[in-house]
Amino acid sequence: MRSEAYLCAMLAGALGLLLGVRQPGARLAACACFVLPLLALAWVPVPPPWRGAVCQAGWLGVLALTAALHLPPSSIPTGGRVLPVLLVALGAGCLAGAAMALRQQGSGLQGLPALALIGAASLAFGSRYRGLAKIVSGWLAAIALLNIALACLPLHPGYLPDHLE
Amino acid sequence: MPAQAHDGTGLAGGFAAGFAHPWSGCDHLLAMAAVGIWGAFLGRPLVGLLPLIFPAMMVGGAVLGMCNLWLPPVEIGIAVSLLVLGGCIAGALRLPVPAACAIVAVFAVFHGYAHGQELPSAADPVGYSMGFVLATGLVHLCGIALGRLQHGAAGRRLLQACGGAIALAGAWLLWSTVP
Repeated sequence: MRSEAYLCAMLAGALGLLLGVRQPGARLAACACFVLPLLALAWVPVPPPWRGAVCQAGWLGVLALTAALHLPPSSIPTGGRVLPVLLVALGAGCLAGAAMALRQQGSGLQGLPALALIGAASLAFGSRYRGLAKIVSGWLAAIALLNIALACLPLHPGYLPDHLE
Repeated sequence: MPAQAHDGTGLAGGFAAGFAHPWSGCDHLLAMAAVGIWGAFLGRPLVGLLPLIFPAMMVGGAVLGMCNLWLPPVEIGIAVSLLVLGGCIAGALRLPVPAACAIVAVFAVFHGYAHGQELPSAADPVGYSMGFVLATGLVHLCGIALGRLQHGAAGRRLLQACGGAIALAGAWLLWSTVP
């Protein structure tokens, strides 16, 4: 299953969009806040009954990150300008680390390519392209919603004929 | 005759299969491009709203499809979506924001329903769903880029002609689909 790696990439992409629009200056610090829990939590064993919940939490995290992009700037807490974004990056890193632990214990290094997504998304969708960033974040939210639904619903087996056959 | 992106999936799965799916048949491709072109025609805020609404409602439709809930014949809905969206572009129709959003949302449900019913569980549904949502978004962006041609008179006429062609494709698809 590659779905854990996809989840990690989605978290990184959504975080990158958020950074690009809200706090481009904190890119490096946010990457550090993302990667440390990613590497650490990937070593934590996840009990089998919790696996589904961890996955759902990851997709909910993607939803929350994309929703934060659509909030008006005044609604973001501004206790310290950078601190809220770093806390968000830390949370995203925790979820990504937990997702990678589902894949294989200690597989955090396999999640490191996601850092490139953070950089790429934050550089490509700066505040000048806020509108485009919101559109892309809508797609990420749609993917997250679909995957939350996928976990709860029966699927059409791919090896069976579809509704037209 | 079935809509072209839905001529049977067999064993398909993974990001690549999902990404390729919307490009594989002119029905989805034209409808999604039409949403982008029409959004560009309508300008702000719809140029940003329509590409947001379509994937979101497509997910709603996909969930309906996965639950096997009843929907009017999907292929007819997809054909009508081409007819209406193409007609809106051809006529350079400027509808109010809620009306344009509602039209796109309703048709997105049909496109999503078709995808949802076929979403394969056998091979990486997460990757598949990511692929088709991202491909859908990219087709919208291509449509918006095409829609920028409207700023010249010749480009505007060309776009309206494209809209007419999309509507004709929808009419042909409808003719082929209705028993």
